[in-house]
Amino acid sequence: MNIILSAIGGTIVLAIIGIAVGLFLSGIDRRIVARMQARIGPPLRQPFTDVKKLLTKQSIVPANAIPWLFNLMPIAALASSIAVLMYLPFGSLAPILGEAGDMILVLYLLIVPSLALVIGGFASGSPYATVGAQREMVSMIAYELPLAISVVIIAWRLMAANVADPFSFMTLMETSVWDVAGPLGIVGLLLLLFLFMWITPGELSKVPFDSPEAETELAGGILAEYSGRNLGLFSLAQAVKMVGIIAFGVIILLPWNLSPVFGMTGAGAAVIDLVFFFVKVIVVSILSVTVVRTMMARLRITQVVKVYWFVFGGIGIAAIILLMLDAFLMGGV
Amino acid sequence: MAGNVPYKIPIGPIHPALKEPVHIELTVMGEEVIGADFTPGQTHRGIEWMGLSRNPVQIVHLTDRICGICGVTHSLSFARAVEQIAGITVPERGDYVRTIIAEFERIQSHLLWAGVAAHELGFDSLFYLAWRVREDAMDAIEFITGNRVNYDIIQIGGTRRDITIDQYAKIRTCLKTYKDLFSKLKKLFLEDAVIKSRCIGTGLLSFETAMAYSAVGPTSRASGVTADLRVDYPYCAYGDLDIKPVLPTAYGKDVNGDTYDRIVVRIFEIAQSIEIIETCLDNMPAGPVLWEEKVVKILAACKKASGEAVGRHEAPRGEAVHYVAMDNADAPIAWKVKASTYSNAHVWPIILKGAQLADIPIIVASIDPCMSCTDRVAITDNGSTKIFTKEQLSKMSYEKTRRMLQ
Amino acid sequence: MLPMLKEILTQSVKKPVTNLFPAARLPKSITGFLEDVGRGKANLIPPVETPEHMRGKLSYKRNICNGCGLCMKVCPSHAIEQVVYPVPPAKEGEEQPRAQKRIRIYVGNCIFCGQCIDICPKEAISQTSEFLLAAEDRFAESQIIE
Repeated sequence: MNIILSAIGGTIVLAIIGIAVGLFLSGIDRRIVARMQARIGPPLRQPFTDVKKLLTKQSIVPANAIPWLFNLMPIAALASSIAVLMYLPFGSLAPILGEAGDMILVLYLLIVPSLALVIGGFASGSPYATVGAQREMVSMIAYELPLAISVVIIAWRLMAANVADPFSFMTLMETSVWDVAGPLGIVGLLLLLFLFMWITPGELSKVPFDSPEAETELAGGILAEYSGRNLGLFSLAQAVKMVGIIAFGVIILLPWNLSPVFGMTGAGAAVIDLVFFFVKVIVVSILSVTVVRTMMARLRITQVVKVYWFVFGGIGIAAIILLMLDAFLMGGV
Repeated sequence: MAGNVPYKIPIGPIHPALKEPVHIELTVMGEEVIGADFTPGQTHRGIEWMGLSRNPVQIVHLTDRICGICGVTHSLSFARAVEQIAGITVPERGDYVRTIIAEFERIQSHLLWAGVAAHELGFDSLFYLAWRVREDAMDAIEFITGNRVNYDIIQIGGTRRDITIDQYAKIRTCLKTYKDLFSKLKKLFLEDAVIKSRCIGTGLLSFETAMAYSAVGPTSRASGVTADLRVDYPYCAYGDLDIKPVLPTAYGKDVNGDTYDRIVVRIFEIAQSIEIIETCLDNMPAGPVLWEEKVVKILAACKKASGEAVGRHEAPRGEAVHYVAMDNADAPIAWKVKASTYSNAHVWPIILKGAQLADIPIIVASIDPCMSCTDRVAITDNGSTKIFTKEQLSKMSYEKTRRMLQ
Repeated sequence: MLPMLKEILTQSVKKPVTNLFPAARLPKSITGFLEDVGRGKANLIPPVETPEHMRGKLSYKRNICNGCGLCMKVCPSHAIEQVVYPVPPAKEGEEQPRAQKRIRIYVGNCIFCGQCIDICPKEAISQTSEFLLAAEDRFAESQIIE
């Protein structure tokens, strides 16, 4: 009973932290984009204000829509994004659901918010949303390949180094993949880091991979018909998902903690690590989302597929080869 | 994809990709456009009708409001038509001032277009940059004419303000800024990998189609048509200048007639305009800028005039034509405006066919449409829309002429 | 490849170009803020400077005007109307003075072309550089020049 209570309490706390960090992240993102475009930008609390306002406004359901599906999907998207957070360790804090999930589960959970968007788009019965939903499906297929490659190869490398249970986050908390890799492996891991930097904007539907929501083509695409509370929930889901995907990348590829450097232990260490973890998340989000979306134009959906499969897929395969060679040279296998 | 059934996607009349209302209906199969059609007439304001109850001196400022970007195009075309009817000669200096303003307008209009094009491609940083550097041209125009958008500098018989010697320095500083900026603009627009991959080969308009559909301005020049009113039928100070139509070959590339070529032409026309303004400033003849200082006398001259004439001007978007007929009265008896977009919009169904859905905004924008300039007719009949055939239209125009003659 | 990267990085360390007119942050109430500015309690960040001969609101000198009405003839937007001020009946033995004809300019209709200034034989109309003319009522005192 106590475990269930603490899990529920933990979920609520985590949901609040996830939403707050996510909205804060998008605030930072908007501010920095503005500065890079020689504008001033909105105050950091602007996303909070936006969501607050959206949640108080009326949700309009179009006549062509399937109402229950249309209204359910924003909740599904938010719930699944929060669920992702429950399996992720933050800094030196173990995940709430502990050993229950692993990287593969998180990979699947990360798809759910996008799927909710797709279903919501189809359910809204607008041609813009339909095209947007089709594009979202295509881009999901596109970025899943390099994403899966990088996750699997990291786990494989850990396994090759005789680490038990390589897909578990608990393992990742204890063993950094950078420690087991040799020089060739490091190069491979750097490639994977680069890969992750480019997968994140795709996963979050940001420019240049934002063709599902393309404002000038599809007038908002999937979200074209969403308004009021539903749209607010979707923006919350998007914010949480942003934390989730970036945190996932940070956990597998940038796993260092600050507390060992200061030689701290106990609660202080947990707090320091948590703060450092979110700093890492913010830095990664600036580099992989903010800068990328400011410096590029939107790609066509066909180009998105080509880029993810051939360019980033190629980089992924190069990383696989490097890490395998590395494992072979280090004599792990 | 949802089966192979073609479905219809409406773009407009109100859509984020469109800066002005026009309705484009696309038949789409998957992501590919298999058919396109457009309906103009969504922003008809009855300006010609307003003009028929005003005298030419009033209309010349009304024409400034036809378009929010081409502040001088329409007033210059209209003034040139009226000047021909009334037999008014514009003093040389007036012609030079007109040329300078027209070229500044070209700079700001092309930069505005460049920004819009970047926005259509989802490249907002470039959009902000282009519109920010456009401010310099707007400031120069405001400095010369007294207003940023509605210049109101053209008067029948010349211009209302002169460019004085002490204004030269500031104008030259502005030109220098643009000269320094040009290489940066060229790099940002023409060397960007994503812009290249999105624009090369999309919205193809062949030389033959451009000729057959009488495309004008940068749209036609990007397809290799060497048509430029400033060169072909020189007016104002253009006869004194050594200019050639800008073709995509300016960038050292072959003529394809795609969206990318249209960007190239517009970017290089900015450079050409800078040069034209510089030459004009250096060779400004002395003298008055206006045929007659007293507006009352201009009014009297216009009232005495009778006849009909066509005034043309190479606007940033292509040739604009004003037809004016006057008959010894205060107001003209006929005034017809044909903006460049009217010629260019007809290539839309052709260049949109076979395009990817994602490229629709940039292809639509690539002809630099200006619907407010174009929409001269709106059919309303108790809410129902009728399509008139050519025969019906000619019959209606005979009737109208008969009514006017009575 | 991606020339914008350099550009955005240089721009991010430069000062933004936005002009924060009328205030750096959105005030709680705009009208309240403007009242405060009027009372000298708050500072208005000035708008972008305009050049010397900017064509703004017209100014009209009624005592110079002779009521000829030429300006009405060239006004493209019919923003000028003639006003006839009746004069009291003359005393006996004196000539009856003619009714005073003057004009009234509606700022809401004016398109700031300045044509009336060009044609005015008495130079009774002139142009100011005032351009912050927004008002809620088109017949407010600030919107009618007479």
